[in-house]
Amino acid sequence: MSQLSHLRILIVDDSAILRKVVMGILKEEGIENNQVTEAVDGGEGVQQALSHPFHLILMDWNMPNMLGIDAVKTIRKAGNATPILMVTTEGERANVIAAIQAGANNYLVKPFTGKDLRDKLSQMLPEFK
Amino acid sequence: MTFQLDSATNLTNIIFLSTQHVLQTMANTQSVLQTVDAPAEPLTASALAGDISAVVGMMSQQNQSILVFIFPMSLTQLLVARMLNIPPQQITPIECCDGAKELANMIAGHAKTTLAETTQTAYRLSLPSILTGAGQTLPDPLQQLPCQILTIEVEGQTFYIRLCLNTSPPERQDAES
Repeated sequence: MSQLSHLRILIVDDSAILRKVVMGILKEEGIENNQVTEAVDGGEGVQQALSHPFHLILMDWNMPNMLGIDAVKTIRKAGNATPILMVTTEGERANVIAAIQAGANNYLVKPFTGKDLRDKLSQMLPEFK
Repeated sequence: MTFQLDSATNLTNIIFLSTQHVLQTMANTQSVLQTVDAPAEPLTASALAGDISAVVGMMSQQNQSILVFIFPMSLTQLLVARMLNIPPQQITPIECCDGAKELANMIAGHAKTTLAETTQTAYRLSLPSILTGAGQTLPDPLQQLPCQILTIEVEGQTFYIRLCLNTSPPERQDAES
């Protein structure tokens, strides 16, 4: 059994293709699809985050229903401390700062390679080191 | 044949370089800029036929742009397959649409960030809209706006980016008194 088999990860992104790309990279690292929950917008992401335990949340920024940064604020306001990695096209320094101030723990700008994502996972999850 | 960009066409430069970067990073493909055209007359209805079009609005305080990415289905299939690391024939039309939307989103987003860093101008983007239909041609409601058309070759196939630039600032909605 993989040492990562206990991990539960939430991916919040309105792009099904992007979610599949991330899940493919996670699978290469030993995290199976059944360990991953998908949410299609910020509102669903908040709902999932506050009702199920996760080890990591990957959060897009620009989504219908609720922006990712607003979802981060809502999750933190509820007292949930799950590590959050913003995965977004919003690459300006001011946006990075805003996301961290909102409660995100780390930031990955699209486009990204598998290595880019793995490096962030290593920074955020002890199991990846 | 490759086309060398005039350094003065900053936005066009940035759009193409962002396209190159996104397609290389996400789909491991090389992009070659074939031509940049600036039609003097409004485009005819038969121009720029494609199967999937992704439309993104880009707006600053000074001007507004509309980016239209016009893909053939076969190229979208190839690009999405590369992103997912699976054979192209396994990619469904719905996945092609979603992939085109996400690629357009990333290209516009990367361009926005570059513009912010190089011109200190903040831009906002719309969420991409997708139009589908084999051999579709888009009507030309932007006839009064200057536009540039980038013809880009990827893996032996061609797609277009139509950049329409309105140099008027966006209309502001006055706050209620």
